[in-house]
Amino acid sequence: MKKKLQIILSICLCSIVFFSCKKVADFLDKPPGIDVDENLIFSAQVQTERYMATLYQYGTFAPYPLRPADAGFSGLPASFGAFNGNMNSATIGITDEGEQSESFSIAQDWNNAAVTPLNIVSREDERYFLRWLAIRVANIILERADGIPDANNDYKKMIKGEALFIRALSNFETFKRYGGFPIVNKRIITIEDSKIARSSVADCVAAIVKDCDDAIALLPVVQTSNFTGRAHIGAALALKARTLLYAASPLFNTATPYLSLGNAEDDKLLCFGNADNNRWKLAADAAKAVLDWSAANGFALIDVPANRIPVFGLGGIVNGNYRTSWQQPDNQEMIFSCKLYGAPKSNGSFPWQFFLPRSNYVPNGLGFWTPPSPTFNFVRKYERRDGTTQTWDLVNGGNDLLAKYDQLDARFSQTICYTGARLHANVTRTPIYQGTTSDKTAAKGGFWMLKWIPDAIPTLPQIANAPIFRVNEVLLSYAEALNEFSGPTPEAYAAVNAVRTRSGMPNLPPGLSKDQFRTRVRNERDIEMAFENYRLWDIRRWMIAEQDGVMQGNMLGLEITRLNNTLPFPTAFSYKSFVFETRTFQKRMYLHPFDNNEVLKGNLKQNPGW
Amino acid sequence: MKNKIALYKIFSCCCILAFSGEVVAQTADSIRLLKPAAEKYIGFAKQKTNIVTGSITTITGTDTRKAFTNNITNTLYGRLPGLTMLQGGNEPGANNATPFIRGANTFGFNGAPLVIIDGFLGDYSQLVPEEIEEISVLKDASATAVYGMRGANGVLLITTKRGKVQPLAVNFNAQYGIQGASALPKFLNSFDYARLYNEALTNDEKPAFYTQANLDAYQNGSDPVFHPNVNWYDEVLRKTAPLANYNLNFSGGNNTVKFFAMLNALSSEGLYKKFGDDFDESSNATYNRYNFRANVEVALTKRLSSQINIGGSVDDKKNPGDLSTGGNFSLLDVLAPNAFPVFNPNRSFGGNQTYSGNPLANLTSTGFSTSNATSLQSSLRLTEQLDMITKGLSTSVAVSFNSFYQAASNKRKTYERFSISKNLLGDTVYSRPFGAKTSLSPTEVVLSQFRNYAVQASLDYDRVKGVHGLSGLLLFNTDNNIIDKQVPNTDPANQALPYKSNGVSTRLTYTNKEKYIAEFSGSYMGTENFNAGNRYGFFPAASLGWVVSKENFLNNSKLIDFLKLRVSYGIVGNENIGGQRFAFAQRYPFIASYNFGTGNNTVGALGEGRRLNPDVTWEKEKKANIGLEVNMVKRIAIVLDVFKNERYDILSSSNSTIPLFLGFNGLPDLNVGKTSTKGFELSIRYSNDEKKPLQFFAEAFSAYAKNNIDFNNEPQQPNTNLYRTGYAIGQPFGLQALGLFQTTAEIAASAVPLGIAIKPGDIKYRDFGGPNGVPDGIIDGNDATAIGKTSIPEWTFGLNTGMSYKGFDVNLIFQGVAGVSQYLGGSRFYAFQNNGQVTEAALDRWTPTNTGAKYPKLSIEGNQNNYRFSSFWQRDASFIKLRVAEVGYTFSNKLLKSIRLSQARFFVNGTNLFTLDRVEEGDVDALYGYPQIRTVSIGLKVQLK
Repeated sequence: MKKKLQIILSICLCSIVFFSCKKVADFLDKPPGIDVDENLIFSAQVQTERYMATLYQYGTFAPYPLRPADAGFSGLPASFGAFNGNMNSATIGITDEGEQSESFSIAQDWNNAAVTPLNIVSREDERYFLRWLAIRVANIILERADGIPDANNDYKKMIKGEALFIRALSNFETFKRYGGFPIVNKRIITIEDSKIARSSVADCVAAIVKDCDDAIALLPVVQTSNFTGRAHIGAALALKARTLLYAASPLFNTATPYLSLGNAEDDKLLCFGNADNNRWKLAADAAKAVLDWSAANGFALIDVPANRIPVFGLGGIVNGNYRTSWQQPDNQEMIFSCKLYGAPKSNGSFPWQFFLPRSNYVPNGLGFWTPPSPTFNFVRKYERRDGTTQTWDLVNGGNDLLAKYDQLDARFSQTICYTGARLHANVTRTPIYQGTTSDKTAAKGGFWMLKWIPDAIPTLPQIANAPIFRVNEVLLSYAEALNEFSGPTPEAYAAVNAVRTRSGMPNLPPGLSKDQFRTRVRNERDIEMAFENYRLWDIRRWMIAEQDGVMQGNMLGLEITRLNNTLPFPTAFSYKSFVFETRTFQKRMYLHPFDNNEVLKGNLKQNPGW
Repeated sequence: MKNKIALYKIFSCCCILAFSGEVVAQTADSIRLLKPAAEKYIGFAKQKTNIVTGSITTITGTDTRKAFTNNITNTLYGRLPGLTMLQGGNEPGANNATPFIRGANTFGFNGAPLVIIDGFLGDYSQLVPEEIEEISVLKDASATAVYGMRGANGVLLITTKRGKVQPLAVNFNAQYGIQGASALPKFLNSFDYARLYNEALTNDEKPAFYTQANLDAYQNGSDPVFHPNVNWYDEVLRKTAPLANYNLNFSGGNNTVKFFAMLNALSSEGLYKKFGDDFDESSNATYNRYNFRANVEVALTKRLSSQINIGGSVDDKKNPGDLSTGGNFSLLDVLAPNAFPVFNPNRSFGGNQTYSGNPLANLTSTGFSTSNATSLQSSLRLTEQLDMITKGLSTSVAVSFNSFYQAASNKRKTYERFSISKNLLGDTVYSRPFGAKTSLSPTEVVLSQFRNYAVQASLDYDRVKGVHGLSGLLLFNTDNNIIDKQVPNTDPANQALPYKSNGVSTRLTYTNKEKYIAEFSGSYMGTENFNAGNRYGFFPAASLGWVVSKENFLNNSKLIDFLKLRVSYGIVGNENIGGQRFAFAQRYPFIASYNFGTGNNTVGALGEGRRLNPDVTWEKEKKANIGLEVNMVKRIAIVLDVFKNERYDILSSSNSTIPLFLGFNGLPDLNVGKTSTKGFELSIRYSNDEKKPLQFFAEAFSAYAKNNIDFNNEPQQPNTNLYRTGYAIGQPFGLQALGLFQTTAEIAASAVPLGIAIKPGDIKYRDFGGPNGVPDGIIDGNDATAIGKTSIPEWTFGLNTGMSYKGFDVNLIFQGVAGVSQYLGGSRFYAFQNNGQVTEAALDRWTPTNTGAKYPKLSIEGNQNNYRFSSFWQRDASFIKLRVAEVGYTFSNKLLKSIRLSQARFFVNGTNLFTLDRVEEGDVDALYGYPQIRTVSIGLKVQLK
């Protein structure tokens, strides 16, 4: 008995050992997971499409804040924590367009000139890292596109063109912030390959333009409605035009930069190193090419004659061509837009909660924070509807506020939420005056934003329209470039007037000098492209930041007092302007500083003054 | 805290009384004899203590019982030279201390030692002292090399009790104590709060908020409704809460069967008041744990024996409100004494919009939470003597299954609270409610789970032939650990994958006359977390020992009884490196989606994940150790170990050197970090002649471990003071405070932060430099520098001393640490910040008339100058604690025999009785959250034979 037990146990013992040994060989192999690798991505067109989604996700952006969670950037490693921005990327409060007084907003650091290489990423450029991700994705697509087995030639050409476009777009976004940048035009594998220094402004502009030209050769003329939101020739042309416009502008198109890096060679990282008026010609030609393309392919200003002067609908919705142009997604003047927010978003989510005033300020405003308040500096730019300048008594104020508002350019009531204006379906009379919660301490400029806020947002989730290239911008760029090159030609007049006409504004007076025309076209651009993340970059490329009331000096707001108690809403208000803030601008702020961590890695030469 | 002299005196008196009584000679379990145990546990085996060449220190299970706490990890403070325990928390059920062996070891993911229970990976925090035979700390390469790529952080080797050949012995222990907070924060009362608040407003150039009438009302307490003065800690905490432990164990055996069986019940109540008794939908804070163990050895045949170990525990925790108490204490830390009354006149809860709740209501009216955890450790081992092949050879096979599972059930609701005011007529007006009243709603959650399987097979050889002794071990181990934990940067698909390892360990020990010892040990081991080609590593160690006292010249020495020199050197690894799971494989995770088309068709996006590192590997450490063991004059034993460790291949971030424009979605961590640690442990034990009626012993140790970051791949810094290299692991970096500004002229002449108005009474900082290393007159992040010490002490001290006289015994255990810093952060310490309270420390604030103040000037605004991370709020956290004081009396045999007991001992125990330290603001071990616990208990231990 004992012996038997012993034998049985010995067998058990041995088999356990044997069993374990047999499994040893494959015991430590990684179990199959759900992992995808690069070869799988390029194994079929349907897989590649998912990678194209990545390209656009990294490569496109909106003129308003994208919160990473909403925009889908959940996969970013925490080590790049910079992209945590809530309201960060909106530049409205940095410029004279508005005042962003929310305590955690980035704008005050710009207004106080407290932006530094240590905080720049969180103060404006959270997408610094994402752009390099987009460029890497683009480079990988360019490298692998030809090898997709089941894709036809058109598809391969198209995705290569798209990759080139996104690469150029990302590079342009870096260029406009920093000047010359490291050109990365292939996938980097080794650390040695990564030792790339900044290239000169001339080389960078050339690289962006080349990518655009190459993309134009590969991309379809337009995209089908299934593919709206993906690059086509028009998008690449528009990017090229914008790049050349910036390149021709005083900031870059000069022999002497705003601040010197100490020697002529390094200064070429900041500007061309020579002034050449012909660059305006290139810019004008490029803009013309966009306009030619758009005319041929049905992209045009929204201009229903009946809607030029806004129709005040039931309950006071201000409906005009201009409102349609920013409110309706994928409209006919949208050359290229960001479609990160595909699904309709409710008022409690981004981006709406950023623009809506919170209910503490405007009862039923539905917002979460204090949105930017447009300044009086900005509102003063609106002409009267007859094309003349509006007069405001800056010293004594006046008792005719609503009458003054009534006289303004129709785009005013489609851009600004002013005293008594309709904010959205739930707020038909916005109370902005002393004694309400939107007094001069809350709405510092005396206004809230209306642009971007769809009227139906309180009840119905809305798709956020996020234009990147629009026809109206191209027209204004064309006019600007033509004027700078050869004075106010009829073509330049025609371009500006087209934009004015569709909003019911009279043509510019004939016979303007080059300087007068420049003033008018810049004013037109400020009004037309308001809050669309143009102003900061325009200020810098025009080099007007130091002018009083632009990025330096006094920022004005309106102190508004009601003059009667009429129900449901007072009918008369007085206004008085006051300085709510005095801002500081330093010359070094004409270009962003590179993030300190990046500079310390040794490859990037920091911009001057930082 | 200031020492509790009164309590200390009482204890001294007890001691004196104890020695004056009539006593009978009896060996008490608190007195340890000088003779070291004949054998020591080493990795996977036991070895004669005389020939051990590794650095190992040991404590018995009985010893760990001395500190009376509900968690065994809290019994090890100051007990084992080389083992530093950092106090975790104090809340019952959430108070695991964190062990470090010889310091922090690594700046990588995990410096925690490996824990081995009866030969297998396990979690020892669930064990109780009564089931533990020994806890050993394995420190050097010789001791840890058999654990290969898991041994570099040192090993805590825990062995549970086994039966012996002896008649059945039945032991029953009961211990009952009361616990109380050893220190609570000292917040000011309403009058002082209001007075200082007004002063802060004045400093901020704002009008005062409280009128003189308000201040009078606070001072005379005439209006507790509208001018309340609530000590919220008193409202929710009670002074004492019971803690009890009952243990019944049996052991015994004959040549066929040996067994040890144990049942243990522990019951602990939390410091919250007994809300469950007064409120139906709340509960008392309780923590109960039930442990059992059955270790049985059966000789199946003459040569084949089996051993079955089964141990387990069930724990039950209940708290009013939330399961963890962090939220309660963060509210208590900010809530002003005059914010609102506990109850309004109509018995509704007081509250307002500023504060998130009413602490009392949070505990009585938000329901309750319970958690249950079960743990199981089981193993089966078969050992066969193979003497028929060659004498001294045996083989054994073992399997083990361990499991831990913890789940919680929360029954939560919310409540209404109202703020009150007086209208012009003097009527009390109630606001509309804050919060909403809801009924209980349940949620069930799994908190954590862990299980592992392991198989071991080994060949052992042990034989002495003449002067030559040879022992050897060849052991194969494979294990599979399923750990449900969030691994950083790993997608969910990989989280549930088990961690596996395979390894072969070996040891070969040669002794010559037990005088010269040479040992080789090592392990060849692999884990699945690394690339196939880099999966296995070899970790060898060699050690030599020389028992000098066996040499002729010391043979008859009266001075030296035993003298051994030992030296060891080897390489051990640490596979627990953190970083990405399977970092060798490039992954393309889903990164959400984008929308195409006018219909916004969503396309899921795939992106390149964090860049792969094909060469990712484990950390390695070269460990060198020299040891000396001396026993002298039959009374004194000295052990000295000096060591030097060099850790390399620490996984370090490369974000700092690889530029972002490469476009990697996350840069790979690289095995480039290096650290080194030096130190020593010295322990001295004295005990007097065991034949004398007055027995005395004292055991003291001091341990020192200082580490240094040699390389961490950090970026080029604008200022040299920002470099971490050359400093200790975890070195705090912050601004260096230079005291308080006294005059505006001084401010004008000094560096200050940008954009903040600095006034006299604010903290002045040292300006090290701007972005270019030149002092720039601006205080910012560039001015940070190494301040103070790390939170892991460089020095640890222990003193365990006691005496017995006839039946009485007394035992004191002290723990000390030095070379350690703590930081005072958050609302508890920062007056009025985040609508917070004010502590007594603020009474010594800066004012124009109190310029020598220790506390900066008050302000109610978020002060961005005074509360920056700086040396101003850092404290030297060195301390000496009396961890244990125990007085016992063992009854005489005569008396016992009449009631059929073989032993009975009655004792009084105090745990954490007092602390001497330099932190005035609170208990150095519990600066935040749940207070440190002090326990006084009585106990009875009886044995039946």
